Amino acid sequence: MKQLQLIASILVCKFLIFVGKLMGKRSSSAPGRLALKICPQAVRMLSQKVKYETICVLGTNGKTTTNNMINTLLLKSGYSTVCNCVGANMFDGVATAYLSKASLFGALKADYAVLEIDEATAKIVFDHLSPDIIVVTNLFRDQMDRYGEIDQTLKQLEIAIEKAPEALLCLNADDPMSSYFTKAVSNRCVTFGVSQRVDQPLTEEKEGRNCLFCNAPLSYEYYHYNQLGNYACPNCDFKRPTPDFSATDVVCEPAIQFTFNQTETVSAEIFGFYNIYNMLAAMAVAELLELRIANYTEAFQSYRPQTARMEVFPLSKPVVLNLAKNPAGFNQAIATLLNDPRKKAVVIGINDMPSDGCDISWLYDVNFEELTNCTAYGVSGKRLYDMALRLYYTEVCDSPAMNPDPVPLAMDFLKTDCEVVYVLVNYTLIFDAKDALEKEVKLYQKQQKKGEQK
Amino acid sequence: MKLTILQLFPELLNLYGDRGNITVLKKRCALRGIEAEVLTCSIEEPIPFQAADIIYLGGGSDHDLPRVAQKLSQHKETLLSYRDDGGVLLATASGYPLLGHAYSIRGKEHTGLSLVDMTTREGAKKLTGSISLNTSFGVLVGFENHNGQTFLGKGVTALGNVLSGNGNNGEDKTEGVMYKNIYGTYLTGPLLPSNPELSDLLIAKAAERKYKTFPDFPPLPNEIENLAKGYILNYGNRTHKG
Repeated sequence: MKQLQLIASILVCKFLIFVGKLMGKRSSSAPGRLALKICPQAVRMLSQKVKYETICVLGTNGKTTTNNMINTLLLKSGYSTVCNCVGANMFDGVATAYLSKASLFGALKADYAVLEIDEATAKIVFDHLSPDIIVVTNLFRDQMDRYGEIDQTLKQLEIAIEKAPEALLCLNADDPMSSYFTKAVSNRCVTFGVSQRVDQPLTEEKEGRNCLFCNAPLSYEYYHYNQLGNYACPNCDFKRPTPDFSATDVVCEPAIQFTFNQTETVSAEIFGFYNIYNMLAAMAVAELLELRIANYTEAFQSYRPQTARMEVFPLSKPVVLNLAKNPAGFNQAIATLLNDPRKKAVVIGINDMPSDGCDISWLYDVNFEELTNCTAYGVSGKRLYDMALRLYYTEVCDSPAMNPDPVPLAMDFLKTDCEVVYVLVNYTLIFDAKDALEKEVKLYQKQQKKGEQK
Repeated sequence: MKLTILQLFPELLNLYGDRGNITVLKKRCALRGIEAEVLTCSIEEPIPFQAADIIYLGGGSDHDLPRVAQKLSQHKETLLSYRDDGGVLLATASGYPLLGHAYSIRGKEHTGLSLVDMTTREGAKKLTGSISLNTSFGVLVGFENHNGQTFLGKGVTALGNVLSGNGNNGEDKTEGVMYKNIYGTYLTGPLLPSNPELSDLLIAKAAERKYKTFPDFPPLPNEIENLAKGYILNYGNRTHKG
């Protein structure tokens, strides 16, 4: 009976994905949601059929990137995987990943499962599957009206991890909120981190500046960004653990290069300091799984960043599209932009749909003050006026160009005196912006061809 | 003309981008040719009450609030005389319940500052979402996110009446408090950018106290401010919960 339910749920899921594709939609959650109604045990039944380990990636920022990097390294090593690569990280998204990979008879051929899971959802997901490795990338303030305060997020994660006492934790040594779990739970732990001072061009609001064990203010030898750095509690024995997997000799300009575990030089066409953590986490997992990757530089060549993480669109001038969902993400995007020596125009798009967070107070935790040297400013999204006020009151720009849609603003800015246009938007704006920019690129290429023929 | 804005304990009370309120007060002072000095004071430092024309108490985490209240209660007499002298104070979000006699956090009752006759108890559910209210000086909009249910004493006036959202307690349609020149509200974080009426009122009251005449400010256009406000009035309903 259960098997029949499972088969029915697989059929429904696959059918809905097919219908979704016909309609040009990215169906990654809805098919699983309906399928779970038919077979609530689908994830439990299928997850047991995975041949080797199940890896779960948790944390505020970098989940999708880290998850996809791990998946890339596994595929590169010749394994098959179940992976929610598109970033659908609620329970229904996890279900979609398993069901879409299963055969119509309920079989599943996968060596590994690689799943990114939303922090608040993990405690539900872990009732249905047993992770072997849990990666915690970092914990920042995000969508506060959903999670409550950051201590609540920490508590949610703790509840989830307590449901998986056998799992090996792979934690960010540089983030006291992540490395907290080295002491807070009894799981076995390894850590990864950047073991040197790297000067970042920003200072910003720092989360969790106080020791999570004794509440004394942590003392820092240096900060990387936000609360990430080399910290120690002056009052108790909590301090940055010495990472098991480390990066040194770090270079971020133009692309990332570092020395892994003091032995191998790794370089990748990946941008932004924060991506070093995502790479380190993925490499830590690869080492733990003993994938024996001979050359990480080569392995990362096949990694493609997912939608709009500093994605470049070649128009008459480059347009760079970036997704940023919270202060940490936005501050990192601003740091990357400030490191770019070209003349820049910038468009910022803020929506407030439920998956963005309805509360936009976090705009004042982002260091937009630093964004002073752009040639043009535009604001868009449902909260464009609030964003305009943010730039106005902070003396960055008195009257930015306004349009609910970010791409027309970017197209206008191409005609101005700039060398590159940055488009920084939050979650529910990103897919439409990407589609619109892809259309503009096609149109532009057509015009170029016509020009050549003449 | 010069006004001094005192931001209390920004290291603890900046949970929801509260620093935005200071930015707005500063800028709107400058637009009227008023020099605005901002003093910040950490919880470890002595509090420069004497210098303050506007005191700002922002929102903090449940974890830190009792510490904040404890520190401030050491200066209760100073705060009471500041209040009775017409001193301007704005308390927002979780800083707001501290103004009353008592407040509760996670099942534990704490003593407040008793600057205003009001009491806060812990509600069964979190009151979260966009909010708008009608006040004697205009319509205010913002976002609320609180467990507390605040009930005002008989002699004190609410800041306004709830148009949409929950307000003080989700029951009596009141939001916030005004008593003398003490203002409290559950609106979180940066509420002043889209509510210039409140910013200007705080500045005017502080100027009146210091220079003995209510200033005759030329009105500012507030065009974008009104558009931002219009968004919440028109579309804020879909975010109401609680």
